Amino acid sequence: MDEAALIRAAQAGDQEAFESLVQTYDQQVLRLAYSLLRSNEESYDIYQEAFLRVHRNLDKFRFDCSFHTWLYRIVTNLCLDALRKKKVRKEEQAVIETSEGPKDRLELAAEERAEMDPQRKLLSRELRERIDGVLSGFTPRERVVFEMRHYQGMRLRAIGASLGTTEEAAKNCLFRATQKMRLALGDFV
Amino acid sequence: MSCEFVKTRVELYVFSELGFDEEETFESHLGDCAECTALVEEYRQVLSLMDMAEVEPPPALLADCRAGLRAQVSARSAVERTWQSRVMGLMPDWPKLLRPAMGFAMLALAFYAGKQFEERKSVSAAGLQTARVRTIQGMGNGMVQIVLEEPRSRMIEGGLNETGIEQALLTAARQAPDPVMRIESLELLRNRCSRDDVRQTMLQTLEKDESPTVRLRALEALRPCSTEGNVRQALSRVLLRDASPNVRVQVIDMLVERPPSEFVGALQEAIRHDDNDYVRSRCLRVLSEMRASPGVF
Ligand SMILES: [Zn+2]
Repeated sequence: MDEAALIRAAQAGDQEAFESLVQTYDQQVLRLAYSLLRSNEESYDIYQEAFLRVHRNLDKFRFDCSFHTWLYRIVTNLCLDALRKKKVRKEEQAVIETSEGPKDRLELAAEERAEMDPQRKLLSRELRERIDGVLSGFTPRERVVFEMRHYQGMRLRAIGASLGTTEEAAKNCLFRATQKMRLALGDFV
Repeated sequence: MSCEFVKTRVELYVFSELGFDEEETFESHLGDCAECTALVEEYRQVLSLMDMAEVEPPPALLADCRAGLRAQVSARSAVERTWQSRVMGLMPDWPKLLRPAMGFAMLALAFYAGKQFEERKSVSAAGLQTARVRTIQGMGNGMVQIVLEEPRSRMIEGGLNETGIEQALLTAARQAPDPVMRIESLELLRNRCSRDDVRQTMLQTLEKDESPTVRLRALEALRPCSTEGNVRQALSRVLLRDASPNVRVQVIDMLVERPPSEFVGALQEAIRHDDNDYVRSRCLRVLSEMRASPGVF
């Protein structure tokens, strides 16, 4: 079944069609959410919320944009909200003392997991901190644009569409993000 | 072309986001300028450093997400179905309902009473399928007498405060073969969990119902009483025993709202033994929010 037929079947209440539709895109969606939020819980929540919204509103989908664009509009909005909340939370987060200075407990847990990942282990601690610094130094929009362009390989036009803006605006975000990266990491290369 | 042209566009060039003409101009300058070539190279290396920050979701997460979605969608459609069936109930599809029953009646009459009575309409066809034939007696004049035993339906109507209504709902929540009906009953009973009978039924459903969707509803219905002693104990048991990660996660979420210290033990137990990554990490998060060290076992 092609996508349009799948969507129409799902709109008519066919649960299996809805599931196939979800599974066409859900790996990419989860990958994006996880990469942006780096948390099982938050990416799980985004996954649920995004596809439940799709389920609730599918009958309103009128094929005037691609399903991919429509889905990504929902997903990027959820991710942007979550990133904004995270930025606020970060400032009021509970910290505990460690030998390397104050660290958030969950970051510690994340770090323990990272210790088991050989590729990440190779990175010197300083470089790793710098890279994390770059990511948290992005505005939520810059973060999303960079993520979609660099890690997900999406085109700027599609990125702009899913952010509800123009290709040009997405291009400007990418431009600023790239400058920030060079500022932070230029002396490492 | 000047170095300036390159320096103001390199950020997009490395992403291949320049237009065709601009990219041509850009590259022709690189051919002549070592400094700009080095700049491009620097940007490329910065990007490859960023590649190291690339992460993949843990493989189990996708499966958890899919299972969670499936449960939520089916719960949603279950509720929708009950509304649909209510509307349908107001306007029954009589021809469709009668067709098989009519067939049965015709067959029985034709067998015992001969063809001339085929058209006889005085026999009420509705309900014949569920009726039990108790006696059949030929009457000699081509007529037949059949005694049917029919299960009687009775309608009761009333407010939730009336004992009969509440009892019927409790029975349905526990025994209705259709999960949708069990969910409906729980929906109607929610906010009444302060009543002993109601709470007992909800607890029983939470721990015993075979459908995770129904168990989730029972959990939701128990939310207002989540601090009561027997509810707290049941929540701990469910967290450790329920087969559905979804139900376990919902229990954890309920603990977040009212974090009594009694749960710490159950959370720690779950962190040690739960086979689901997501459930474990959720417990860890709750514990850290409760300021209880996950290391204290
Ligand atoms: Zn130059």
